[in-house]
Amino acid sequence: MNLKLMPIFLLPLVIVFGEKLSKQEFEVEVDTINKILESTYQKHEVRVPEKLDDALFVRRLYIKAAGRIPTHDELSSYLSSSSKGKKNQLINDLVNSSAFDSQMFNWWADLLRLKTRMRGGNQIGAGQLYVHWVKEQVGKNIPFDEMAYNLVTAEGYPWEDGAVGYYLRDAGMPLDNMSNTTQIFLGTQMVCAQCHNHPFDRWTQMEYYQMASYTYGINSSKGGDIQSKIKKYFEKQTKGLSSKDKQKKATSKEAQALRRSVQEMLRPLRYGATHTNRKLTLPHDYQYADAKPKSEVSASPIFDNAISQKDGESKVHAYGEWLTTPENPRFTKVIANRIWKKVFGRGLVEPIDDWRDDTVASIPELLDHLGQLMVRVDYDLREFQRVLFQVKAFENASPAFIPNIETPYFFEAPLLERMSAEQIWDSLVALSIPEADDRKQNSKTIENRLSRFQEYQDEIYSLNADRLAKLARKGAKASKDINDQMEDIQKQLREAQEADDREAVARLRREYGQARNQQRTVFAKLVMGPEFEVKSLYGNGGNIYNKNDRWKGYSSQIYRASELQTPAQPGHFLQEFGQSDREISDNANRDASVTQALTLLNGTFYGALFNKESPLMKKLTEATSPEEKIKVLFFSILNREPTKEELKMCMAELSQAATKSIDYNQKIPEHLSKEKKKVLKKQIEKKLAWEKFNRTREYFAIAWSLINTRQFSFVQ
Amino acid sequence: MNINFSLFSDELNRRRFVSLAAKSFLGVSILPWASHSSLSGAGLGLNRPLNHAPKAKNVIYLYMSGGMTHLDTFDPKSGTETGGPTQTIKTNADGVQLAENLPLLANHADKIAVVRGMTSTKGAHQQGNYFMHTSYAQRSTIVHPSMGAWMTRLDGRFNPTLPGAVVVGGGSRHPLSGFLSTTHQPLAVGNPNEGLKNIKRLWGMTEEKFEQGLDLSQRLDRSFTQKYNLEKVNAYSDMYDDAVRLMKSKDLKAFDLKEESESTRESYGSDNFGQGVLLARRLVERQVRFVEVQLGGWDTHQNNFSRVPERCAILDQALSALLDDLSKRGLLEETLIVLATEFGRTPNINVNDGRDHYPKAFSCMLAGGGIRGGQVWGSTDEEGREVIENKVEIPDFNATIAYTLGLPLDEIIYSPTRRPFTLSDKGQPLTQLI
Repeated sequence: MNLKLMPIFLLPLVIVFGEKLSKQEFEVEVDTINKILESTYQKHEVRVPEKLDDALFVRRLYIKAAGRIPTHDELSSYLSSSSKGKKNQLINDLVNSSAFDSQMFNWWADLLRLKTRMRGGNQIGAGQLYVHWVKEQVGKNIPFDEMAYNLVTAEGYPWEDGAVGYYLRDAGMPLDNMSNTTQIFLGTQMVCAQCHNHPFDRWTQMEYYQMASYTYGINSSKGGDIQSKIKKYFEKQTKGLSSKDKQKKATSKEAQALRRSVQEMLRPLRYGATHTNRKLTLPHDYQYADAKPKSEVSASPIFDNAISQKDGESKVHAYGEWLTTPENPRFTKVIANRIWKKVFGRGLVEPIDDWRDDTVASIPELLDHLGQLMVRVDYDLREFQRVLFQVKAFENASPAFIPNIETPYFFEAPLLERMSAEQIWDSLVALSIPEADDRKQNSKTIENRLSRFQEYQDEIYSLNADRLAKLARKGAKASKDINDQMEDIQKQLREAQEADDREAVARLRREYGQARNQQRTVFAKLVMGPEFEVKSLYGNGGNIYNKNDRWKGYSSQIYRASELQTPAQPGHFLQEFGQSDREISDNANRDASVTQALTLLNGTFYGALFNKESPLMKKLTEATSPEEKIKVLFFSILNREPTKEELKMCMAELSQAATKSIDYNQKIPEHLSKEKKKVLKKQIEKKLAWEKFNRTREYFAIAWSLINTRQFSFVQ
Repeated sequence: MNINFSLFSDELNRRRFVSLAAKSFLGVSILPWASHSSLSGAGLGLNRPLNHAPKAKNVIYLYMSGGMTHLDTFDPKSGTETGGPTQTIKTNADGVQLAENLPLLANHADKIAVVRGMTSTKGAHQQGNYFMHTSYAQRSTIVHPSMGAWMTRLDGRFNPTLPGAVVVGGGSRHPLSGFLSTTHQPLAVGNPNEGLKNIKRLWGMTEEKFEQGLDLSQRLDRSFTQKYNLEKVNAYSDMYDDAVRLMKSKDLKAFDLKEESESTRESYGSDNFGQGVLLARRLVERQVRFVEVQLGGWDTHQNNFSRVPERCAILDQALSALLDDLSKRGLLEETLIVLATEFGRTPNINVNDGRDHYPKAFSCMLAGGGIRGGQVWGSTDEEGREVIENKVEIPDFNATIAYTLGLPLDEIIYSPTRRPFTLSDKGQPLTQLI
């Protein structure tokens, strides 16, 4: 049997991650949570709903752990397995699968506001590098506290430390960056205190500024050291000249061209993060009595656990430790609560990112315990979720109510929720292409980019001032023509804009873009030699979607959400269903809309779904009787068997022709000539194929009806 | 007092219903706007003079997302340090001056009212954006409705098959219909050039098959929807009803910009915003009540003086084309045009040649819909730091929008959690603008 076609949980585990908890410890953890929940139910007289049947449980588990519904094969092999430990096995396999990483990446992307096209460092495609870095960390299952520490202490170029994307994302806005940090990692909203004392919480503007002081020194433009090296060199050259001559020389055409040349040479090295000692001062209109406007602020943390700066340790590293230590009163509980919500559909504390001093969890004992568990698993989110998936309440059917946010919920089961945008999309992807989890962007393209950047940096930094100056002179000469051309285009552009000649404007802009690329090529090759791959430094480094024969004949657009541009374009399926636009943290929504209904009724995704090679269609064709076919549809889409009643309803939709079996044994009379036999054989084949297709079409209609049920898009 | 109030308010609802029904079923208002003024006369129009006859029927709401600098657009301060290099230009209306970044709009200044005394306390994007859209401070326990949803809730839809409100390019966290039922949810359009996607039935699916298939869906779902009789599940049924109605609408072509001539399309600008504004015009022509179009990129912490002219070029072209187009079509009187943003930007220019968030003083604009053009309301000091005359709070601004439409400012709508809300909180309309 082909290994690839085997359902995940039967595969021998290739990669076994070191599990943090021993088998015994693991059972104790699950048991403790069960006990806390059971005593809560007793105390509050909660009616516990019935357990889900196996099929719907597997559906829920796949959606939560793999980010999509199970395939027909995955579901049927689970149901038919008689192994006693099959549930444990499935949970363990799923949390170690690449599907798990895919959905964890989506979770991170929403949290960190990841954008493939990020404004900071846009010229060198820094967003793509940041996204790549996050994906790598998720793949390596880097613990949450380490990840947080790495993000806030990030420093260097994006290829040296991918985490600098955290600061490039907010380039030029260090104050906003701090309010994002407290919201993401401390569940604390300080953004109001940026301009005045918080009206509903205890934060003062002073406290906000004191906190922001830790990272205010961030500088997101780099390459200054090289620039000053060159500057010094040229200053030496003009030493001894009168200041008038100096001035004259500096404003000469040559000097201008030279400066431009230096700029271009250093362009790939301009974006990154450096923590400086820049001091933060209060705003000019600071209105409180505790300090004067514009006075300097000294850094101080917002919680009681003190920041201790060890010898030789930088301010920002001390702050990173303060933020992520288990002693921080919110860090651990906030992430434990976030993950609890991810699994159960609601946090023990709501909203998850607006904790106050008087915040009380719906089950305080459980929140305390989850915080301890988070520490015991060393902030390993994979291991933490492995525990939660085993909690008894996770197996129960969602209750038929949704308490409003002010009413405490005691977690007798996960709440009913609509699948997230990514979950619906990924489910449709898995119905449309085989081995959907394996179809990925080519990360080599990005790794290749990282290497080119590193080489470029190494080269530039290896050159002494003399050599740099020579190169800059050479560059100024080599780029003279193209610079003239660019200036000329700009002049024409201005004229065209004044004359309001839009066609010309568009053409000239294109031409300018081409010229700029040429210019970049000139400089990159000047520094690195003629063989150097310039597209790695600017743009996305070539095709990140490689042709792969495994998906030959399938649409080139059908990838799991984590492999697409992030966030998806406006109007994309994912955006219609509420994928975050990544402007602010935790920004996805699951609200109904007319465009969603239109998409599910008439969307283009049906093209891929009803492709005759799609997993859904293949299963449908394999099944012979109409009843079997309908069962295939229910199993693939709703992940359950149809009831007798439902089967009858669906059968009634089929025309007589569709239920009649096809006669495959049409005889070709012996007496015909060889030629005629051949022709007739072809005709029969064609007719059979047509009949088969016509029958299948009626099943499309039923599949369409199933996708348009609430049962499909909701997780019960 | 309360009892009286609710009696009145029922009465109001009944009487409003008559005029509303007339408006929406007969397409035009046969009971002229007098019906509104007589209602005001019924004693509830606390904020309205008896003789106020609202002219506006529909709204085109242009939202400058990110915080539009007032100093380089509608409140220029050339010659001062805070004004930066931005120059002031004259317009076709005496006493209205604009920044040089809006040269085309200057020719239409006789149609606009610039509100220079806007002030707010919300200096962060999310909070400021939310406040402008809803008149309420953002809370984590409730989502307030945006103006388009209030409008269809209080005054109904005029076109029975098209949505009552549309938002073009609104992002994933627009407050939309908030706590109001999803039937008031504005339709979100991502890309105006693509119009409404997925509006045609799948290939080979007949209308009969379509209906049958939907019917089968419903029957298969019956036990699920009975068990989970919840708002968020039922919301989808409403959305499906709306979607099917929309698919059958004769006015669907409103979404197809290709119906416009090349020259018209170009006059609005080829970018998404310009095309979105054109789409807005096509929609209000067909009596969609409220169309919002967003233009992003105003968060100019860096390079303010190169980025703002880029933004302005887009805005200037689209807004001028719209004013021109609507007045030629005779629709300017009944269409209120609003330009809003979450806050202004700091008079002090920062080290990155940018401006930071500044809620204390900023500018918005109104035009059409009975607004008296060629005027400036309120002013800031010489440096654009403080409002020194006619301060306007955001709820007041929103109350003004509602006032031009004749919406009842004092009608209380309860959230599902039984909390009382009105459409512009405690805002008072700027009747002087009309």
